[in-house]
Amino acid sequence: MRILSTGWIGPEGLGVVGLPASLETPIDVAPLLKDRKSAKFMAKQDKLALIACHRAVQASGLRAEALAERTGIYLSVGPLPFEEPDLDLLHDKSIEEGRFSFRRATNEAFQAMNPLLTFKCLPNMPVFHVSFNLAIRGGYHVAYPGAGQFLTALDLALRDLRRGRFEHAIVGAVTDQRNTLTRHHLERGEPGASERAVDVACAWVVSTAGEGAASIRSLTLGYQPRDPFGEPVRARGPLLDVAAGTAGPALRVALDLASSRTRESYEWELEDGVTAQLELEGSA
Amino acid sequence: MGAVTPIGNSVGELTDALFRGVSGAGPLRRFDPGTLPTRFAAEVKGVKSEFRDVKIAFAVRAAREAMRQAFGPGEKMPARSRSALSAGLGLELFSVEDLVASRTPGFAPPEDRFARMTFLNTPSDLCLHLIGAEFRLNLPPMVHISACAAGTDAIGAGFQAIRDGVADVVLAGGTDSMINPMGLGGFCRITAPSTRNDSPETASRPFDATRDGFVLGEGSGFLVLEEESHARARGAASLARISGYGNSLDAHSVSDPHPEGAGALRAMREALASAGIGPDEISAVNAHGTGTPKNDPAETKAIRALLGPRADEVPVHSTKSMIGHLISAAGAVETIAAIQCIRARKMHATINLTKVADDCGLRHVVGEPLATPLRHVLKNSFGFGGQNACIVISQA
Repeated sequence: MRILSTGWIGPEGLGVVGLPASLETPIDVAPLLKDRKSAKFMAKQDKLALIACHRAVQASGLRAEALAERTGIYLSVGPLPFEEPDLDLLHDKSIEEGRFSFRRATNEAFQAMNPLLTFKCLPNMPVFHVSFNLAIRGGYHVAYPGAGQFLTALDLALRDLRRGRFEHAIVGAVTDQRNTLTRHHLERGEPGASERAVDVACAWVVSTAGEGAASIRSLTLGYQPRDPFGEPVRARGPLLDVAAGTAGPALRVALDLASSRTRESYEWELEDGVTAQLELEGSA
Repeated sequence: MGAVTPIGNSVGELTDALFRGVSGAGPLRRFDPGTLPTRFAAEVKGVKSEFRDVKIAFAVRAAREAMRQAFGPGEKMPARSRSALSAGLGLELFSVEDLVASRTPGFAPPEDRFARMTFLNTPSDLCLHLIGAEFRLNLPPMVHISACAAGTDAIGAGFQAIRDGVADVVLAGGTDSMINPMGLGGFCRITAPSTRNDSPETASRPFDATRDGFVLGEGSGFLVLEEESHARARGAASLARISGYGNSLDAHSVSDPHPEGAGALRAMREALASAGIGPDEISAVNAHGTGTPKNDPAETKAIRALLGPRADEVPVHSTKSMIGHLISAAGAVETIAAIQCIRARKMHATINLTKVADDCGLRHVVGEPLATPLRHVLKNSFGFGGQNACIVISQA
């Protein structure tokens, strides 16, 4: 299978080594929207996913008609993000005399929530926004939350392509990490990780034919269940200096391809217990 | 198979209740819903959870029942088997109570690792690691967060992994509970659930003219899927077969299904093609059947387009009429219901269907269970954001 192209979005100057000068990711999704009104339903994660997938598709040279029902979308999504203003609202309308009040929470806090927040919280929404704006109506797989889930998504995509279910697959990972809730989650896994956390998305267009960045010779997966309440497992293998969550492996390979520093073999042992060996061959 | 549901905490209890037409809905007990527009749900009864996020306890219990039935008490996966978990998971549980606590002057974060991992929000994949370790699974878990389609996607992906030759055994299913202030509150804000507060037991009314939304349920269902020769080699008997799977994207609307059911129809056709059968071989349909104003007519159109002239002959039912909408666990529990119907040679009824809506005309099973041989049953699940998943369940 060929990796026809990759696309990503992250902080400016993002590279394999070191931290960029700023860890903020500039996002402008407006030019990509089929319907500008849909922006109000979009969380940051949705926008990141759409931009990365769009960039990958643009770079592939594939036209919209070639995608449609002959393409599957396989995305891994990071942990649930929650922005400070929304948390402030929930907090302020849930306290009575300085303590949590169920009565106030159900009577006031939830009634005050913007209904659109419901859609922004649904973790499968990135797949909708990608499918809607890129007019893709094939199949899908949407997974969560660790780096290993990008690799299981890739495995599913490769099997679907081999079986002839689709001609093309958009395989990617997206995570919004620079928000209060996800930072909290990162810190309990690895103290200090939230200081390196970035909002990123990366997508590959993988196809049964065509020329492109590289070929996937093989992908071998294994699993060592971990104790979620035990000591955290540190990831091993080629990743980035920024904390890129579920997008780590995808982004590492994409950045290597872009700088012509692709390895023949990538081996990872990831925090979620997934082990993987990805073997690539250079493009013809 | 294993199940934890609003009408029974085992497959046996679930089956008995389904054929008796029991509703699992009632006034909310887990928390005070205050003045939320919907103040009832289909709650699981009698399952204690050491986790604040009850869907973890549901998943572990259902997985254990399934493994016990497949391999015997205390058994793990056979040592040389390639085994995986494929699970539909619900949203992380977020605690507003913890949010308030964390902003109180003098607050100190918990030190105990168990408390730290469940404070403020609980990662939904905790249960996968617990199950993976308990049963010594050796392939990566396949996690599915396609909302209402997740459970069916999980079973389909498990089936496909075995068919592709990458796994021998897959523990496939789903778990969910959104019966908490954030979950129910969020759905209320988009007016999705029924507001029939004065009569919760009759509120889930799939395909009915007076339906007004779904009833939020909770629970878990797991099935042990096994490659045929692998099962035969150890003398295991099959309960049923998963023989086909398909999924598709509507690419239409963030909240509404395609009005003609176009995406749903593609997924159904793909599932049949995957099973190597035609529409004339479908014995019955276990519908997505949520009881929402928009799903039921769109699904009806898709089913009618699929079945053609047989649309008025093939019986259709909705398990959600009794257990409510289990979101990420729905497809898994409803697949178990369909399998039990196949084995019993009868279909449970859709309860609360007193007047079929004009745009929902199908051969609905109402009143008493329908005695009928069931060779191939089509199971539909359609998720928010236009994600459609279908599987074909066949006699063993």
